[in-house]
Amino acid sequence: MSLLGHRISDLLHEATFLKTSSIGLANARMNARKVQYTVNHVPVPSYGDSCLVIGAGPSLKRNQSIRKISKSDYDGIIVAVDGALAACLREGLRVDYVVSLDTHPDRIVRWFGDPLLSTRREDDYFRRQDLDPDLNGSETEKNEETIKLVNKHGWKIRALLSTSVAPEVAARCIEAGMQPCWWTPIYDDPRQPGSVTREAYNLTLAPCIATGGNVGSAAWVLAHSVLGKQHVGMVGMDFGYAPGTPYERTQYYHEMKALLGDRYEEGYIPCEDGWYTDPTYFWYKKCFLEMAALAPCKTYNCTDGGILSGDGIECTRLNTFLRRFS
Amino acid sequence: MADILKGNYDLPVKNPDPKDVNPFEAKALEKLGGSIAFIMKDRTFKWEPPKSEPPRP
Repeated sequence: MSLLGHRISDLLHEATFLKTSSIGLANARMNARKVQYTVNHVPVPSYGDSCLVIGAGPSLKRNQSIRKISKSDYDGIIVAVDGALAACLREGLRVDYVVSLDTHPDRIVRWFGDPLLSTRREDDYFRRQDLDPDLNGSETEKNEETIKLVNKHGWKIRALLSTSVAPEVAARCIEAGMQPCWWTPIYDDPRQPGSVTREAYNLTLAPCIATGGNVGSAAWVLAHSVLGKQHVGMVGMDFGYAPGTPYERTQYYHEMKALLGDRYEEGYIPCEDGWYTDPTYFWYKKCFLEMAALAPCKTYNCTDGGILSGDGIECTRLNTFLRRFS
Repeated sequence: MADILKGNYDLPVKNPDPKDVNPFEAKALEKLGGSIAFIMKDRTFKWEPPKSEPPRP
């Protein structure tokens, strides 16, 4: 069953470049006029030498990770991906930075509360997605709640925005009082002639940052290579789907059906303990392991679920990490 | 990039060539692809051009 999934995963790097580089570059051109600060200007709190990256995978809610963090004496920096921001604010957790990367023209702003929700085209993504299950129902009501929370707490949070994000995301962050600090995602080798990365960099002079293909991995890179933290813990970095998750609730369900038709189930890749993943997340895991082996920090996966393990990653309980860095 | 990425051994398994993918598959693959990912092999996670090099137009 998984051979097809592995084959698809091997093809994704080229597919991703085709998909995202043109949109990312177009967004960078529009965002360029807003760039006042880059990640070179990020103020880094002096407390602690650790950072906790909060991804938005299913283990975040399954293990009540945010609640554990908020009740602990953890005194390191907290970096949340955009998809986990609302969940953190709902639990009253202090977030120092939020990271956004994805180029989607109208989905990403929902993570910050979308003031134009009623005007958007029909999209079942938020009703299906497993990144923040609280948004699955009562979309309008939840969106209003998110807007209020982000508006209330935004002034305390620094938004680390990729120049690839849709301009609406930056506008929403600014509206909520978050001062964006920009960075350029590495699409290809910026040292080579004709590099898309270099072209994007020249628009804003925002430093180029490796992303690993997804916002969670990008947040981990920012934690060690911009914020300079030697110990980086992660929660919600599942890169897979919990046992029993229906296929229609996976991130790329529609795309898998479009690609494989009735055979779409064969594209999913079974993993240990009933977890499974899709070709895209499997590719994210491969990219992350490649980066972890080179990283200038110690990486602790405190997700307690998912499929991310391997050389360069210490899988440890969240409470152990929190106690150590309190 | 070729000299950065060049390996020193051959794998027994040949990776599928993206050019072998038919256009329909390619289009669907585009939608499956995640966000941007390129990993520089020399431990570079944050890159800026040397200060001596002016930004290219």
